[in-house]
Amino acid sequence: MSGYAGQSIWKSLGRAAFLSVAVSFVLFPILWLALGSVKTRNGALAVPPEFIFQPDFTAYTRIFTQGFLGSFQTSLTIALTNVVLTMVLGVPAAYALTRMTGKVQENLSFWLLSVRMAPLFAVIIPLYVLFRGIGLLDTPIAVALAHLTLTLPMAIWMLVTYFRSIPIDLDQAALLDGATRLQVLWIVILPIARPMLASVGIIVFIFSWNEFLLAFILTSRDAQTVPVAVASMAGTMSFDWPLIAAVSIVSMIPALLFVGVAQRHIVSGLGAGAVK
Amino acid sequence: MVAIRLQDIRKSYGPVEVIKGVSFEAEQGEFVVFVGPSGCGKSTILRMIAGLEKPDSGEIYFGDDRYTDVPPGKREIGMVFQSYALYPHMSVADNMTVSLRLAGVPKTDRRKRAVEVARMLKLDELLDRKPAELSGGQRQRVAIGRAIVRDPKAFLFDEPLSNLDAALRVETRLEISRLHQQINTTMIYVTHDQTEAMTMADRIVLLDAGQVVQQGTPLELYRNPANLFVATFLGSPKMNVLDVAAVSRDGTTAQLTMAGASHVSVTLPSPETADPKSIGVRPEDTRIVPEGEGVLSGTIISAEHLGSEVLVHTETAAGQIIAKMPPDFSAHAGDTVWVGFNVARAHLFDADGLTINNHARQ
Repeated sequence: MSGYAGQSIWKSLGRAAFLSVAVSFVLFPILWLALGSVKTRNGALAVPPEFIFQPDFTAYTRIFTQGFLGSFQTSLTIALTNVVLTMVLGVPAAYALTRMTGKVQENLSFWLLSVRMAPLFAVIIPLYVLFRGIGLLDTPIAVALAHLTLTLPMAIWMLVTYFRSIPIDLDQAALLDGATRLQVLWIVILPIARPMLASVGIIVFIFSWNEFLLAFILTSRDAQTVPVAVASMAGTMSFDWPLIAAVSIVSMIPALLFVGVAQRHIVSGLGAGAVK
Repeated sequence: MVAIRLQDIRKSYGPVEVIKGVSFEAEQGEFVVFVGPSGCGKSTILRMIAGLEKPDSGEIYFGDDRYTDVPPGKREIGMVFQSYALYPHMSVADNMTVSLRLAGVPKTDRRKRAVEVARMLKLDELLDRKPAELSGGQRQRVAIGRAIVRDPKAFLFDEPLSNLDAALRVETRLEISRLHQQINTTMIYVTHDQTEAMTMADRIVLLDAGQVVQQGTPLELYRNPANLFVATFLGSPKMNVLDVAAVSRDGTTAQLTMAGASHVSVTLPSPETADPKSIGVRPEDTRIVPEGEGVLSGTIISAEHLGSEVLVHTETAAGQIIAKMPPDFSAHAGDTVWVGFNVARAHLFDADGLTINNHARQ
């Protein structure tokens, strides 16, 4: 009896230790960033690091005064535009791919997947030339469209997998009830697929919010996103660590909020009871 | 009045022709059961009536109107799927009234109709539940309710009982029959279960390999099967079928012999009738009899005591034979017994398996 209890204590201790290490591994950089954002420029780079200091919040006020709000606005516009476009185009495409059969659908599915196989560098230069040609360089819409080329195939593939798991009997029952294809999608499929729509939304938003390379190449001044703006602060002459840290901390907030809202729709077991 | 008429319907999937020219009529208010082994095309025919599949050729009429190309939503058909196909995110009431919602019926009227139908199906307590919170039988009733709500021209049932347990299946079977009497709408019901077909149908349409083999009332098919397939498909336990050879013929009387048996004398419809090649006897026309009175001797393999009767399975030189005996009959595996037939009610088949003799209604 005692042996059993002892074993269980060691087991939970071991588990606690492992989890602590794992959690601190993830959280330490964020903690470091948070501490750095409330230090002075010299204090942030002091060796050994200071753990007891007078917090200084001026870096956060400088986000407003030094024009970072524009980057936040741009990032938000790009990410939300991308989410909306991905959904508006991806949902009907995925639905059509699962409910219509034939050679065209098969080939189309593979073609979509193959877009994901191409390295990013293969699309950047053509996109740059294209956007320069139509005068979209350094605009949020250019970055959003560039992101769309990557997020749309991914979203379609995720949705195809999910839509396929929804029994086709439901579509047919709705068709017999007098629904059009679009109404089937709207009334039956989308409400059932809400968890997957939320997941896709989160993934697409976070991708767009964090994406650096495309945003860096396709923008120069007016449409800089937060990651690009942060990177451009790491200049050769000065290195404003508290400001970089403060922007990074604040940049987590919209993504966290978006995930928080979207996550509430991810409830399992919604599909239960449709068909036995 | 003819409610639904199919005219030489054909359908292929790729190179495989699954429906090979099916024609059939259902009268207004008739309960028609399509029955056949799995893969015979019965569900495909039902789905073509619903408009969920298009026939390659042939026509579908509802009344006098051609409906072959009318989309499913405009056919005013209520269909109950094998899987129920309830919308999981909607309440029972919403599930039942989607068709009304799509037709633009106001919410209060929809609710009223849902309550009306729910009362009929004893679902009134469950109107606000989600399908996941219902038992299999309740889900089945919601699916039926959804079909009733829109007051359809005809009901289509696609194996609606196959997901239910045995007791519930009998209960639901009776309920569907009762419903049919109550609302008197044409119903077309697909099943592979011959018991469902026998108990529910006004008329059975027996299908095999994409073709109608025979149609008629359950008793017509049971008593006068057109061929061996119909004879063995309907009836439980199955008809005993034994290979025979005619040893002598005198006009319409033939002496038949079978492996390990004395002769059996049968009457043929006319002197020109071909010689029977097999004989079929239903278990209820088969008896375990005292030695000397029977036709064949055999060994009992098992005796199933069902309470109301005993099914005696016997191995004979001519093959396995099942006899239906009274409940007090005592039989033990391994016993040697004699098997006798009520030859007057035997079915005779020619070399192609077609029935030679017909029985008058008895």
